[in-house]
Amino acid sequence: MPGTRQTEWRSGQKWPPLPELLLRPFIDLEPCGQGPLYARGIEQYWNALAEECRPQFALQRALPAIFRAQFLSEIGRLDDIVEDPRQVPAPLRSARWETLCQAIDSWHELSADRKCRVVLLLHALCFYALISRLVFELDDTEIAADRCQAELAYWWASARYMSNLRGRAKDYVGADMADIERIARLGRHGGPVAVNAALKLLVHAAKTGAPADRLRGLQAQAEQTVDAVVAEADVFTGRLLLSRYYRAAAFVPQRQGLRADVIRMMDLAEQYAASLIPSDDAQELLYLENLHPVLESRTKEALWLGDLDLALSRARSVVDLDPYDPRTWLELGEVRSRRGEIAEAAESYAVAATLGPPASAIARHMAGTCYRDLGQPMLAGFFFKEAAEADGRAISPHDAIQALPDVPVIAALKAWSLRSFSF
Amino acid sequence: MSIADIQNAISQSTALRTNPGYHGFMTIVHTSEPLVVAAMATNTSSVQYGNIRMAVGVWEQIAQIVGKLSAADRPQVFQCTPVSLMWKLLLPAIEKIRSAGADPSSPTASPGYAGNFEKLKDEYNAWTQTPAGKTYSTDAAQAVHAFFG
Repeated sequence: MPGTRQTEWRSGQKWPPLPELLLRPFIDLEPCGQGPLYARGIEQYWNALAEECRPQFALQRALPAIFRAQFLSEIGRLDDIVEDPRQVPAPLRSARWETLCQAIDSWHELSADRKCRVVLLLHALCFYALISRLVFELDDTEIAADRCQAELAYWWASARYMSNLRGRAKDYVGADMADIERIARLGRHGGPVAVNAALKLLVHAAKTGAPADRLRGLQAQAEQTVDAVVAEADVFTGRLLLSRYYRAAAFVPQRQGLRADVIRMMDLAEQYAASLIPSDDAQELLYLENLHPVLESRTKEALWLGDLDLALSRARSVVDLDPYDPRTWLELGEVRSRRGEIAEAAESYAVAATLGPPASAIARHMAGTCYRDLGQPMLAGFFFKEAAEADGRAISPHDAIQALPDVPVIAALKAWSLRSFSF
Repeated sequence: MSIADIQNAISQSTALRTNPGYHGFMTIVHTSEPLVVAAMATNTSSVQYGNIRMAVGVWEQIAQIVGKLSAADRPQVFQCTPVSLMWKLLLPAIEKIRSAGADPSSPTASPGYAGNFEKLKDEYNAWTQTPAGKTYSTDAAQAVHAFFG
């Protein structure tokens, strides 16, 4: 019966863990009162599916494929770890989840616009493998003829990109970008989706260390597309695209070590981001969700420039903007750590650990390293043990435990660690 | 070296570590006390002695596979391979074999036994002291990383 979870929560028999409250939309598409922006965004994806009079909705951030399983595993909802929403047992489905399942069931009867709305929601929920199966490869003629088909093709390509991404983006050198390149080549005819593709190509190339000439070529392509698409877009969309363009384009002068040019481009990215005037809830979220990576990038920029005070101020702004996203606290912890403020860094990491996935294990480990560096090996040992327990395949916390001082209590922890790591 | 070479090295190492015979034996070692692990390496005619030699041999092979990569590429293997922990786990048996001799027909000590594995462990431990090595490592792909950028 749909809505079982809600009944269970309200009965008071079982109150869910904190991460479940913060990330609830990923379980049943019901809204979360408090949560990171990417979780709150699910409500807008849902609204765009439920009410087709609304514009399509898409945030910039794509979550790693493993996020969904990691989160559900941590909160003990193993029945929800599925590759297709329809594999969630019927009694556990909310009414919204059931509607999504029905839309997937009737996939072949859906209009291209509705297919896009379904795919956007599935993409936000990290069902990348399912998107790869639902959407067949579209040829260049189909993509060029219809913006909805171009959208579908882009999100299909994005899902494949995310499915194959393991670890850090900078190590994703072998990514197949051919499908994204096809969409970028549409230029102004593709509309905003062509901008998405052009910017993805540029950012991917920059992060994976492509040569400066290649970066300049991709920047020129992105600039041309952005200019053409912005000329036809509404004010909100235009400014949003320009903010995104300047943030991505700043990679090019950064590669060349041109500090003034990086600052100028990032100033523009922030100015356009701040100038957005949202007219409804969906746009409010788009505005905030764009400010998040802008300020995050500005923190990295400040670190790159060696200005640790500015980096701290900007990292705090990101936390203020998105306080329930554990990643913001991890980043604040890193800035604190670089400033030598180890106790404050430990506190930031502890907050990230409290908020949970996807930072649970890493944040515990990083808090452990802080306490180790502060000369508190017992406290460090506690956090390393917690990290190892949160991530069954962890290596670093076990290595760190083995490196702690040889005292009797820690000897027991070391023996436990050596018997519990994943070999 | 190319990305393909790194991926190939990781894939070969993983294949060795997930071999059923190795994995089954390591499950026993993993739950055994150090003294018991050392005892496995005493009776050269026992099945357990053969298994210990096989397990150490796997890590000698992994060391040779990783050794073919450039120094700059090796960290990518280190990020997902518990080299130091495995060394510590097998060390009681390695020390026993080194002192008794790795050749059962000769009583001469073999201090160089598992030398490649030990060299790999030293290199791994040195890497953990570098900025890159201080980031969070796990055998599982993580949805987030300790350091941003």
